[in-house]
Formats: sequence, structure tokens, C-alpha cells
Amino acid sequence: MDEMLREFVGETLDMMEAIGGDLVAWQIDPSDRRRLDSIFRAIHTVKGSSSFFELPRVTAISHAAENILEILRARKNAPDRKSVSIILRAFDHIRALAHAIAQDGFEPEGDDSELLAVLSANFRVSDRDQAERYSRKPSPPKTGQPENESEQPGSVPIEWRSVRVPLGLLDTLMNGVSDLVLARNDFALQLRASGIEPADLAGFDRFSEILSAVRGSVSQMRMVPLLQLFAPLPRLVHSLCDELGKNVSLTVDGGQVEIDREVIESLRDPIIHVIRNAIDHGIEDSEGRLAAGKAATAQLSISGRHDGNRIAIVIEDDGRGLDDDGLIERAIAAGHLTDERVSGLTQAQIANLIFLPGLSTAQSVTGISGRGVGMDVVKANVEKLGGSVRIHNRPGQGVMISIDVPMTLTIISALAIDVDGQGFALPRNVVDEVLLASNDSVQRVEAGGALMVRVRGRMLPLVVLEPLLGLESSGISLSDRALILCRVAGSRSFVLDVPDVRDHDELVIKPLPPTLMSIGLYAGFSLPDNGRPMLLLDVDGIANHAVARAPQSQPVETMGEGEDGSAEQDERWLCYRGWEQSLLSAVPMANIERLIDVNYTQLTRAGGRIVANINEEMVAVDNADFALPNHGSDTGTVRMIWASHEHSHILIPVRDVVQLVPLKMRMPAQEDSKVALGLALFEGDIVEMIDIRRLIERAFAQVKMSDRGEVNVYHDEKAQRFGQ
Amino acid sequence: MMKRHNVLANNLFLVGRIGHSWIGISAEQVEAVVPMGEVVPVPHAPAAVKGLVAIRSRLLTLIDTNVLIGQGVSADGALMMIISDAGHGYALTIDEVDDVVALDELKPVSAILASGWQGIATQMADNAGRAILIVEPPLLIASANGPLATA
Repeated sequence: MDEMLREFVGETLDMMEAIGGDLVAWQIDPSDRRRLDSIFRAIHTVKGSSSFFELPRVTAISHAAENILEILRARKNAPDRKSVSIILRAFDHIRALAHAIAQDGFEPEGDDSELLAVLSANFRVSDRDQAERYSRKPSPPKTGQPENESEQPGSVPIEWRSVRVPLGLLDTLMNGVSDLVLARNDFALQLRASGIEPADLAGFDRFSEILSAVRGSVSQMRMVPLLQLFAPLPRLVHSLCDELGKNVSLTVDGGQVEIDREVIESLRDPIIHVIRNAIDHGIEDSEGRLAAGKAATAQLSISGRHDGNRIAIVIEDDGRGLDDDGLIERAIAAGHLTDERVSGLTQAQIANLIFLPGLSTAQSVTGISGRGVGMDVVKANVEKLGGSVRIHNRPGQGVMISIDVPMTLTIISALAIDVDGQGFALPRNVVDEVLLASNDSVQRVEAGGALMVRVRGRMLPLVVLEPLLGLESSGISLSDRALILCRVAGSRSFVLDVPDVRDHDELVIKPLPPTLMSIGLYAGFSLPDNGRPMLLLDVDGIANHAVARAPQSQPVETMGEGEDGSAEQDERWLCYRGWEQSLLSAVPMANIERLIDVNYTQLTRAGGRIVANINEEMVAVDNADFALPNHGSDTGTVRMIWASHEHSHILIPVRDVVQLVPLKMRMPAQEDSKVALGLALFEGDIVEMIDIRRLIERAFAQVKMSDRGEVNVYHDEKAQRFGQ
Repeated sequence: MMKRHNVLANNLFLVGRIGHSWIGISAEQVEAVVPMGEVVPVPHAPAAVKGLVAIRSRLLTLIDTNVLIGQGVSADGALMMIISDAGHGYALTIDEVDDVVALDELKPVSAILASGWQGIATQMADNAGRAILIVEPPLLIASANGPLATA
């Protein structure tokens, strides 16, 4: 079966699995908008990818289901049970088809007209009752008397249509909205200058609210999965191999990563160019490979992953690598280089010569590549997006090219760092934790002239911001400074030591011009409310400057390993001792938002549960073994793990946090276990591995559900339950 | 201060002075000329990049043309020409703005210019005895990156 198709099926089934919990929760509470949104996103993704593989049945069903969900989302009222059960049917049908495709390698023939009729009929007034009948019993349609119940105003159908919009128009809209935000900020500034506090103006507040809502929908309009970029590649590789007589196995990874549509459009040509180059020039023919002691079939991989607010696309081959001497020769011939400078060039600098204009890697111009459109054009196109291209050449072993672009040219939420009055922004999604330098759990260590910080068992390099930026050290005393744990892929995480940090609202990020991009420390810039331009720090770039220097051999492995960035994190678990537990527990790092110390005054017993009020956000506390003291003791804090799954959050009170470790399940939990996945060993102690999803479901369950392990939804059973 | 001319002609040039030299920039390319406001420095930026400025809620990279041509530093509060290149906005300092004039005969620069000017101006014009170097903004911006960066 086609590799891509297999991946699609796998992804679809995974998604069905993942969305199972949402479906169940949505059934219980159809008014839950968040569930509805994630269900919508899942079906939307299935629809998008299925059309690539020409799976008409899946496309038709998902399209119809999407239409219904779209209508449900547009309504204020909670969906009726009938709509819910119809959606469940559609999901089951898609799952069944995906299973069949997985087995046979193609979409089975079949007639879905009945289901499709149900799906579309459900939203035509005249056929409403007919749909009702369908949903109860999926057998022959009968026409019957319209039921009055279906005349509720909430279920008045809304005509749903999609409209093709030229990309340019979407761009104009997006730019307009971004400019509107900037203009709003400017306006706020002018108001303040004339002595009016914008927040006090109800009208201004309302304006801001509407603006951010519009901004949200516009950005969503533009996000598409990377699959759109990757899907045609297997065919391209196949035909190139045929033409050039080469054997290449292509691995594609990270198709689910979402990226701004405009960014994808501009990446298409560069990526195709890089792949062509790799197959044409980089990869040897089978004889050549065997002679070089390699497998006859070459490996070419392309992967995409999120890295903070950026997307990294890595294309790697195991061909012969770049020809250094050839590059130097051509660079001299093209006048970019003089003989004297050659001796001083490092390996990396030689590889970078390929980005100079007029340097084609081809020995001879072929029909495939080497037509004069070179890597300089690739670089220019990527830089235009505010991205960067890096090349890592391993002579004889292959080339790795990583293209790094902003996920979207729009808005991120950020932390603001002040250095002597100048603000710098740091994307919040790369920040693991912010600690005061005086916190007991951090320990500064010096070794070999380098500063490090020990935090909860991790030893991380310390990067002090001012010297990094070449600025005067601000006069903040050491203990008042803040430490920001920055997450960087490829185990290059570090701790950024900053004089002061504060929360910031969302920032509109504009791409940097190449002049500033090439500094390698910034990912973009922004104009916040105060009207002073602010640079967005690029943690990956900072890691390049200040962290990854030591092991020279590492970059290749570290870059290659990042599948979707989650693989490495998923295996790490945070071991802790629960509030009243002697047994060790562990939660997957991927589910952990942060650790916080919650003051008793922030905790309330209400509605039969304990909730915490954290910056005016209400978060449920897992109270399986935690109780509030009855009287007094208002002072003091409880350390909690802030965990999340999908969009649900929970706080787990802990006695102490032990360590972040990789865990391997030794024994699965018994089936009726409420929250444990299984058991593992850590330094000889037994650790219970907690499934956050189940923990959250336990905390939020209003109805007792029997079997948590089972996420499949059987629509018949549900339909019956709802049909009553 | 530059006035908006309603003449649509591509031989109109904004003539001004950088250091001791008169320059001309195609008037079509100059969006506005405004005095320099507050500048936010960019650590580790090339020397010619003075920093970032915000003009009417637009973010611009400020290039100090005096640094570029090796003639010291532009004064604070100097004038800036606002231009766009490849989707990015830039502000270029200019010491004096003279006028917008029509320059018809552009000739290649045959004299060898001082190193800072090389690669920025490739053509010139004779305007009533004044030698006006025609500056191409994209070249000027590219040269702000400093010498060829191979790293």
C-alpha cells in the first residue's frame, strides 16, 4: 500500500481514537463548545487529507458531517441529541472505512447514499423527521408526520455553503486585521497621551474584544496541515527515480502539523527544489552506493515539526554529500571568493557557499535540476517569509537541509522581558517554567567556566541575557532576577537568566528583514501598546549561540531525531509523590503545563469539588486524596502539577516532585483501574503511570461511566439511549 | 519636507544629501520623508542598522546611511526616507532633502567611488553641474548586511 495512504489511515484512526473522549464528553454535554470545536477540527482534517488520496466515500461523509458541525457551531443553542447521534454515525462510518482501507489498501466500493441522505436531510426542514427516523434505526426511510418537537427555533437550518476565496483576498484581509490591531494599539497610546485610560472606555473595550475575535477567525481560516505540502512528494520522488535510474525510499513525517497557508504556498517550490537536488546530485545510483558501502536503496526523509512558534522542515538524504572542492572552485569562478580566503573557511562556511548566487551543484545541467535556479533562490524565498535555511554537509554521508519558517505571520502570546527599559518578547509556548532565581529548587552551578542551573534533577546551561545581547548588566540583584526554562528541540533546552519578566498579551508578529534575521537571535518583531518596537527572541537561535557549541558531532543527530518534537517529550515522565500517597506516581511530561505553588487562599470548595482561582482562571483540583483543611491555615502553599489534555486542565496536588525521568511500563494496570495506565520502576521503587485524560475525565465526569479504557463509541447503543 | 507631486513620471527623483554627496532616489520608491523619532536598538545588528522605528504603527528597520558610506553617524532627529523592499519596510537616514527633480539622462558611474559607495550607486546624473549619485534602495539595503556573510 502507498506509504502516504498508510499514514493517512493511521492518522485518521489515531485521530478517531483521540477524539473518542471528546465524543463521549460531548454526548454527555452537547453544549460543550470546546468538544464541538475539537470534533470539528478532527473531521475537517480527515476531509482535507482524504481528498488528496481520492477516497470519495470518506471525503463525502466527512464533508457532510463537517457541514452539520459547522451549522451546530454557528448556533447559540446546544445541539439536539439527534444531531449528536448523526455525527456519531458518521464517525463510526469513517472509522470502518479507514479500517477497510488499512486492510485492503484501497477504499472499498459501497453505497453511502443512505448515510449521506441522513446527514444532509437532517438540515432540511421538510425532511427533519425523516432524519430522526434514520438516526434511530438505520434502515429504510419512511416518510411520516412532522413532529412538533422539531420546530424549536434553535434548530432552524442555516444554509451552509463554502466559498472559494482567492488567496490574495485572504492575505489582504489578514494584513488588514493585523494593521487594525496595530492601529488599535496606536489609538490606545494616543488616548493615554491625552490622559484617557483606554480600559475605562467601554466602547474601546468592546472594540478590542471584537477585533480579537475577528483576528482569531481570520488566522484559523488560513491554517492548513503540512500534508498539503507533503502529499505530492512521494509521486515526485517516484518519477524522479524512474527518470534518473535511482532507488530512493522516502519517509514523510509531521504531515499533521498546521501551518499558515501563505507560508505553505511559498515553501512548495523551495522544497521541491531541494528534493530534486538531493535525488539528482546528492544520491548516488545503486552501484555507486554499493561501492561506497551503503545500502542500494537511498533514504530520503522530510519531516515537519513545531518548534515554538516556528515550523522546522528538515530534508535529509544519505547520498554523497556536497563536493567541497567543487563548491570552492565555482565560488572562485563566480567571483564570490578569493584564493586567499579559502584556507580560512570552516566546513560549515564551505557548505554555505551553495547559497551564493550562480552556484549550481550540478556537474552538468540536467533536465531535473541545475537549471540555474539555485539554492540562492530557495534561500531568498524562505527569507522573504522571515525564515532561514541551514545546511549541514557530511561529505560521503549525505546532506541535511533544515528550513525554518514562522508558523504564521500573525499573532502569538508572549512573555515580555525588560532589559533597562528595552522590551524583548519570548514566545510563551517555548517556555516550560518561570522561576525566581531565589527559588529553593534552583541551584546555580559552575563548571569549567560555564554556568549551569540545576532544576529538579535537570542540569541545564544558563544563558544570561545581557551579555548574550552585549548589553550592560542591569542593576537587579541576583536573587530578584528571573529564570526562564526554555524548551528547545534536540535536548538543547536552557535556562535564560533575565532581569525581569512579565506576562504580555498577544503580539502581532511581523517577519524580520533578512538583515536582522541573519543575526540569528530574533524570530520577528512586534509593536506593542506602548508604541516601542519589540524584538521577539528566537530560543533556537539563542541555543545555537550559547548552547550547542560543545559537541561538534551532534547537530546531525539532534536535527534528524525531531520527528514532531513530541517523541522525545512523550517518553519523559514527571515522578511525584501525591498528597496523601506513599506510592510514587508519574505523569507524562507532554501533559504538563507547569508546576505552581498554590496558596490556600486561592483554593475553594465549591460544587462538590475543589477549585483553584489562578489569575482569575478557574482550574479544577484533583481531590482524590486531597482535602482542604477545615479551619485556619490560610497561609502556606500547596505545590501542584498543572496538567492538561486537549483543552482541559487539572491541578494535581503533590507532596514533592521527585524527578523527570524516562519510564518504561513494566506491567499494565488492571482494566478497572481509574486513572493508571500501568506500572513502572524508578530507582527500584514502583511508580504508577497516570493517564491525564482519565484523571481529567474522572474529575469532570458528571455521569458515571463504566469503562475508561474504551474510547470507541458504538453509535447503536448511543442512538438508543438518545432515542428514548 | 517632500511634497506629494501629482505628476506620474518615472524620471522624478528625490534629491538629497548623504555626507558630502548629493544622491537621487526614484521618487516612486520613497513613500515619505519624516524626522527620526525614538529608535529602539537591535543588539548584534550590523553597524549600519541603527535600530527599529515605528512610523504610524508600521515597523521599520532604520539604516544609517552615514555609517554605510563610512562618514560617521547620522544625527539624532535626522530625516528618514521610508521605502519598501521585498515586503519589508525600511527607513534610510538622509542629511538633507533638496527637492524632487526630473533627471532624464542617467549615466553609468565611471569614476571609482569611495568603498562605502561602491555597490550602492551604479548610475549618476548631472543636475545643473551637481553630480547626483543615483541610489538603488535594494542595493543599499543589501550592503547594510555588511560584507558578504558566509557564516
